[in-house]
Amino acid sequence: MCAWVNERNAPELLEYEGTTLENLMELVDFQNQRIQSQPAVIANILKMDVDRVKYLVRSYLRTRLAKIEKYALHYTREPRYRDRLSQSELDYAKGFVALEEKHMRRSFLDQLPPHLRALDETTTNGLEMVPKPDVDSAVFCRVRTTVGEFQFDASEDPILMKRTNIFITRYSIIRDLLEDGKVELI
Amino acid sequence: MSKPGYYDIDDILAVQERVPCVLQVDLDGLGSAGGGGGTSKVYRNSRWTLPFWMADRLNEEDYVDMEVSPIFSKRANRMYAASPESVQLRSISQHYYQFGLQMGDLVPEIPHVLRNMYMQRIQKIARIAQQDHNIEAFDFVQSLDRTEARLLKLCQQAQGAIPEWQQNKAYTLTKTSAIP
Amino acid sequence: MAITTRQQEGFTMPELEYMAQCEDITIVPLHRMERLELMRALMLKRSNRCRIVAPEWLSYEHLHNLCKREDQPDSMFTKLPFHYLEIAQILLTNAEDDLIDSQGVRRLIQDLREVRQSKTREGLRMLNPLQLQMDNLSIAEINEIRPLFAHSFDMLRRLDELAGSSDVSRQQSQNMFADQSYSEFDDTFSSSYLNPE
Repeated sequence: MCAWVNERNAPELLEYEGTTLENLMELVDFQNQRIQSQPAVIANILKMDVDRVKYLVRSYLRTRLAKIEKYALHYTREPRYRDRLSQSELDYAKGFVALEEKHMRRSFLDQLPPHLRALDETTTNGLEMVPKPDVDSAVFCRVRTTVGEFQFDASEDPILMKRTNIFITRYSIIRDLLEDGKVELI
Repeated sequence: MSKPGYYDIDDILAVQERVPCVLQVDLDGLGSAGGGGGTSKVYRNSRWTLPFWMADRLNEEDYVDMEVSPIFSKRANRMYAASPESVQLRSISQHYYQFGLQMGDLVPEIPHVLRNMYMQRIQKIARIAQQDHNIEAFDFVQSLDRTEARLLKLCQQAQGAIPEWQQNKAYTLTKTSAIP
Repeated sequence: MAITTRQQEGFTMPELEYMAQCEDITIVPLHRMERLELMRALMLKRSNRCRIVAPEWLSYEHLHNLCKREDQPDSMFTKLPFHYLEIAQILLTNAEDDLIDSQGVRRLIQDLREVRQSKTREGLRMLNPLQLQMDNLSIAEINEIRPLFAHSFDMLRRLDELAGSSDVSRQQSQNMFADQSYSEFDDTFSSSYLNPE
């Protein structure tokens, strides 16, 4: 559940929770088999569990897909992000990039002179054609284990970060804390 | 909102805002583009208003001298600062903030001006999103530029979600509806 | 679109309800007391197999006190469960008969919410592109202000970058909403390392 909430709130794609998902799906299989042999009350509870887990997994994967579609080219190119994709997500991302490019070429790029056909240039004033997640964007986070004095910015006084404290801040500032599990996004 | 994006339609529209320029060279054959008065020649020091994206580039290459858009003139800034909430931002520019962000490199006081304007006006946007509409709010809503109008809409959606759900109008997430 | 635009701006209320259902709650089954997750309690409740014991904070007395404290000028947000709005609503809808003075409770929850809303508006004044501490806000409340605060934060950040972070006045204290009453230290750091409160 925490992975789902973090993924929903983080501007960039996070590490793929493959093992957790596998365990969850195994549990679902196991519970599904048990359902038939149980009295109605228990069966209902088991079924609710299964349904809730299924919803969670689906929404988690969809959240990732939405991000992948948004920044497909960037994610497939950068090794840091490539490693975060599952195999099927990587296939999806590559397919998505190929489809998009094909569509652009057929629709209009092929009619342009060759030097105007690129899809991944940086313009003279630094505008990049490849969209990237903005890791400085605002997130709300809650402290899970006390961090202590934390420097949000080199020019500012450090601030005490204790368990249950809530902050709105830049994602990039607390990214390391998030990876260490010291804060969670909310 | 994020950094300017290549495909961001509002960023593209924002740089369509026109800025006054003074031509620094004589040009032949471009008379129809601006103050040439029907002849095909335009001369140095004649004045043009050009879209920002064009002016910025020509300015860099010293073909024109770009001036501060009247939207961000000292006089305008002073005037707006007096009562940010009553400024008809939309009629000044549909893309006031985004244009300002683009112009910021050229006019050092822009960040300060935009910041004051924005901070004052979002207070009111927050109030309106939390309360029901009245006439005063209606006038204010009409004065919002695109950045603000979009923010207001998002706020209203987010604010409306809780009462909607409490009155059971939200799509209820039950075990049957979550799983088709 | 793999998720809706609304979901990209935060959570939907049904999703928060979904999360809230994982919170524990006390019930009275046929004889003995038990604690279990809200979703299971609701299931048992619906089939008349238990009575739900209202959480201590969901009583007229407690909420009334909170309301008074919340209303004091310059006060922090009072402490409430992270999912208080959802749990209150779920219980008011599904287990109204297990609550004492459910009408009063409903009204107080609404009052509390309004006072807290006006406080978050105050918080908006202090928004700056670095950080703002907002302890004890519940997730539904955060979700409600998320678009406003997040987009404004990003706008201020861009203006800050434009100005070159040097001359931007970070007026006022950023910690008006810091919860000073919280004293539970984690063992990660010794308390001498932390600021005296």
